[in-house]
Amino acid sequence: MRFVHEGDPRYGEPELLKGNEAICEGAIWAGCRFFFGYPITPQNQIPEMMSRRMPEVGGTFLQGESELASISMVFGAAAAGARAMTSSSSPGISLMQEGISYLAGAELPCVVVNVQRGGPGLGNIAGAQSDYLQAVQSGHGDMRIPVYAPGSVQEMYDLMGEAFETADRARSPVIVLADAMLGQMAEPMQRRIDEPPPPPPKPWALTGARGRPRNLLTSLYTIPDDLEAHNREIDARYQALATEICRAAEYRTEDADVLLVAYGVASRMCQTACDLLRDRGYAAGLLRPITLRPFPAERVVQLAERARLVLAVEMSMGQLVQDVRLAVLGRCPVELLGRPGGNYSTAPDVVAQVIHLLGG
Amino acid sequence: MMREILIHGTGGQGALTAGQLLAIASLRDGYTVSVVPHYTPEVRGGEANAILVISSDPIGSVLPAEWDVALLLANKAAARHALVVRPGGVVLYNSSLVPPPATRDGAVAIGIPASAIAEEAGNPKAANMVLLGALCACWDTIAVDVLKAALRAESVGRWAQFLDANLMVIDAGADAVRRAGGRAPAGSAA
Repeated sequence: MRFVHEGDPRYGEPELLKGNEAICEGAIWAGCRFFFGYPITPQNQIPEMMSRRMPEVGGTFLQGESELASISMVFGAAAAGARAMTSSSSPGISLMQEGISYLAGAELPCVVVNVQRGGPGLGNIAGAQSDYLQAVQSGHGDMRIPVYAPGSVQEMYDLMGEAFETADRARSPVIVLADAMLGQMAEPMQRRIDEPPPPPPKPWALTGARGRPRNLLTSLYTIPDDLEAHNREIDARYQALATEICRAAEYRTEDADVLLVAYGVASRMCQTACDLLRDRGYAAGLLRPITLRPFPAERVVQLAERARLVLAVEMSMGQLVQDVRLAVLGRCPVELLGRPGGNYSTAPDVVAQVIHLLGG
Repeated sequence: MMREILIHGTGGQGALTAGQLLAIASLRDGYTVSVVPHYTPEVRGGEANAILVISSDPIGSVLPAEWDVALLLANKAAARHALVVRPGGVVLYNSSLVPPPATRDGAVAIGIPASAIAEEAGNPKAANMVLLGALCACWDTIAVDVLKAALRAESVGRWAQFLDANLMVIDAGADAVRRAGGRAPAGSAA
């Protein structure tokens, strides 16, 4: 099958789109009608396209005066019960951390897309995966925010629908963690031609209190017992969903004793590396987390138990590898192949590292 | 079947446009495809490259370590890129601007005076289309007619005015490579 959804009647013909454009179309299919954002490379195709598409679908596009304003506008639209989103890239996401935490505290659903670039600081505009740890612990405070990691242009589209659904069910911000490469590259994408499931009712939304008691959305709980109860309630909602939404994709893992773990565009190089390694007699397979929160720890453990080598491949200095090591808890060695700064490991680089680590 | 292709130019030469068109032609022809744009950080005069993978099977790595084909529009980093073409592959270079590059054993380099052909046709910015026409006339993957059909489908709105001129230089590029005796490059082993 050349295309993921080939033959699925819910999807149209493949068309060539950039990842950033796929994000927009996925969000629109999911019923997102409010986009707020502030420009930053390499995600600018998202606000550019949304500025055209939102009016076409009866939605609102607004370029805020800053990232802080934009995430606060998302807070407002989400509080009114709408599906709302913003997008930015690494330094801009840092500016939004406070707002994301406020959304989490006020139990407001929204989707925040991070098209990662090289960091720290201004870094550069090349694709990187250096915001992994920031994404899985977005904002200050004690909460878990679901994080989706697309690995193709098609998934940039598909995961937007899932992200909005999860956000509504968890009453939480959801992060979609992409990178410059995925955002800028073009691949065939099939769009949904059916209707999305209706969003759940939002009796908590601020819609005018005529005929009902008023709703209060706040993240301020001055009494520790109240805040503890509030935090436990948020966590219980996340935990109730965690098993259901946790997802990973696998490639040639059925008999693998060399396990590669990678997400996003790095997983694409690893997929090819698995083929190259198998050509050379190594039984290599790939586990690709699609949700980074919740992390597919159980599956990592199952696959790691029969592995003589687990190698995390990432475009950062060692962030994903921390979750892999936490999952494996010393059952087997977990090695890292990381390239920071907007660089990446090619498939032959991964092959060479595996052979080196196995003493070949 | 898989083909890994680099289109190298400098800003404004249309390397990315050429990549986009070749990708659309590939999709129309039943292949799956990926296109990754690649730029260097200079404000002016930097590289602007398109990296394509065309395949009949799902694509893993979108960033190949070697190419089956390199189209070199500019001399900026032509010599370096030509050496990344694997044995059995082909380098099509814009001989109006690029001196004959060295290649690895088993790869061939074919010069096409793309800028001169485009200028002669009154369409000086279309060196990218000349090289695409040349490529499609000398390999076994996307035929010239498929490329032209994709161009027709894409030349809508403000692009419609360039259609005829672009079709003409695609043919001119195809003729040039046939005159040069260009052969279809063998595919990659991987």
